Amino acid sequence: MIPLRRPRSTVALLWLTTALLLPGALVQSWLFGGAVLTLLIAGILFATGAEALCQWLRHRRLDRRRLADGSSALTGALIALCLPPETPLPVLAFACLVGLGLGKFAYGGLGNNLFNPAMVGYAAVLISFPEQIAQWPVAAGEVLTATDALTGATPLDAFSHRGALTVAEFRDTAAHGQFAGAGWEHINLAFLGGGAALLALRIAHWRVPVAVLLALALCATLTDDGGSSASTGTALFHLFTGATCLTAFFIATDPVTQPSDPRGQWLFGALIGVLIFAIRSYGTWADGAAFAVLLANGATPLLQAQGERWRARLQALRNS
Amino acid sequence: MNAYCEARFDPLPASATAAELIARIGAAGIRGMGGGGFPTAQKLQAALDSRRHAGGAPIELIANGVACEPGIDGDLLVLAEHGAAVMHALHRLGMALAVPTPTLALGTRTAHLRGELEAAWPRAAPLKVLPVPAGVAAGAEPLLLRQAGVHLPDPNQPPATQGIVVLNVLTLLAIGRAIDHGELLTARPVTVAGATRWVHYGEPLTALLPEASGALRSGGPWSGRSAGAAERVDATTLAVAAAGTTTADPCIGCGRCAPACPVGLDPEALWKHCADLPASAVTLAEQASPDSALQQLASAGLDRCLECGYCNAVCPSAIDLLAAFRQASDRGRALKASVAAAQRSAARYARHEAREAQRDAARSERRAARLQRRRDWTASS
Repeated sequence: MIPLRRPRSTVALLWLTTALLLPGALVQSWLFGGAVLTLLIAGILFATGAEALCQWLRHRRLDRRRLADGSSALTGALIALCLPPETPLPVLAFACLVGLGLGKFAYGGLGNNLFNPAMVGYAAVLISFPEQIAQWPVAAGEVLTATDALTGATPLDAFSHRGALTVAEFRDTAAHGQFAGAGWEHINLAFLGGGAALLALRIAHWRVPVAVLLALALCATLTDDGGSSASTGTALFHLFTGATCLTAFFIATDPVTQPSDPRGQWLFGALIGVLIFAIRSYGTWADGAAFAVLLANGATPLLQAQGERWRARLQALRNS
Repeated sequence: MNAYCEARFDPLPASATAAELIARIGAAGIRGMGGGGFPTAQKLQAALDSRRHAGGAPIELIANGVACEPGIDGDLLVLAEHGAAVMHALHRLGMALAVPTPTLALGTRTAHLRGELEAAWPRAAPLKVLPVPAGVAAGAEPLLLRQAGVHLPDPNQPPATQGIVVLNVLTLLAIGRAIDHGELLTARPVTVAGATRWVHYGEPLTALLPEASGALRSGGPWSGRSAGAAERVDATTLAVAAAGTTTADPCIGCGRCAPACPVGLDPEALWKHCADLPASAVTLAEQASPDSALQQLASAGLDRCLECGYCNAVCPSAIDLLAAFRQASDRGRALKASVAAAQRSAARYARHEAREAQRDAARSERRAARLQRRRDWTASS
């Protein structure tokens, strides 16, 4: 007999996802200082405020259940973790307002949005305030304490502006850690751990993150020629540098903005992986995760339809 | 069992024919007690008629004791306490309908009673016991027939019209009481807040659970629906409990409902089509057009929905998908009925027009003939 067990509520799912961001956030604050956590809390507060403002503008009243359902908190937390710790608070507030206002409420609120609200907010800031958010603390070589931290480019920035260095030589620079970007390898491992818990608790489905990581690793492996100057970096470098694990486990897995059909989900994840690689290797931006997710979000209805078509064809084959 | 009133009919002798049995079942007012509520005599008659059409192919008779939904325990109670009577009724009905081998389907919750039930079956007569593995809605008719390996020539027609009769074990018990003891059916077992007891038909649901203050649910924890305030116990009242007070969250498209559906529908897509149903009445032509929400629902397979409610049980947002599907099915049936009525009246009008035209033609013909005769007469005079 199938046990009659109440499933975790949507509210619980959203708050648990937010809570599982903590390992990554803690490692980030260990590397870059306590400002990371301040920004995280500010992001959650700003996003909740933005949600309240949007609710008031739309309905002239506040829905407490929706305010506390964890969806806006998750959006705020994701935006805060994408931004460097020294980001001015008004810039963070702007990101939350754009993310929730244009990314979520313009479409009718939770469950109706086409694009991931956190990525809408982050992309808006990325385009509008490039200077304010260009500076990340450097965690060069070995793990640094906050007092040693200097500001500078991220390993991905350093990698894409490595000049005459070959990829093999880049591995010996301070921006490269043990196997990927200095410092960022630890952050990515922590998000990988949180993401594994997310999958183990069956909060998110495993197909999308696995597809993102597989596609990215595959692209990197296929184009890696051992470290010439034209090379694009190893699979390990791409998987554990930048926002890869955060994107794969916590941003791409947003159920609202991904296809619900399993075949569509494979396509969706693979598209994000390929786009991250393409933007990093051939685009202007050092890290393309946000734009990769937004582009794939835009393709979601198409991928969903394609997935359903395959499903119908498979069913017809099975019946015949 | 005080569930049945004083005898109203004479017991039917063992020599009674199928027609006599069906007449008695109809007179006793027996309806399907597994939740469908379909008049049992009509079902049996349809099966008999189909045998005539199909050139004497034997009827298949399946006793449904799967009891698949936890929280609906009437089948368990009846099989445990009146198993012998159920088996006797199955045997008698099988003999009368000339069923070669009746089938007894048991689920995971009733499998332990198999020995007792087989012991109550006449030794010489053949019986097939079908153990049904655990599964969502495993006892629902389409899934049970698939499990039994029954092939329906036309899956869109009711199985009874194709010579396949599935009867719930409660219905069989009622049939046995009606033909052996001449009793009317006036009660059924109902699981009231987890405890199963015999309840008389016509009792208000609120009287079963006087301590419940809010709304009541009629039916199991998955497939139940909210009961109206004045609702009373009838053949389809399987269980009664206090309806929980959950507020639904928006659908976030988590996709948990699609793999849960036992017949492979996509409840999320169906539900979104349901939301597109126009609130107010639109014209028949608009409703029947292929782009209308009702037609979209039909092509998405709403007809195949078993109404088992498992999609509700797995939804993290606590959305009542089943209520939306039931409402949409009702509207679909109503639309079909009104389209048929419109077609009938259109046909009637066409016939009327044709008659009118014929009459007019005959009239003008006669008139022309008359004029002709007059002209002929004038010319000749």
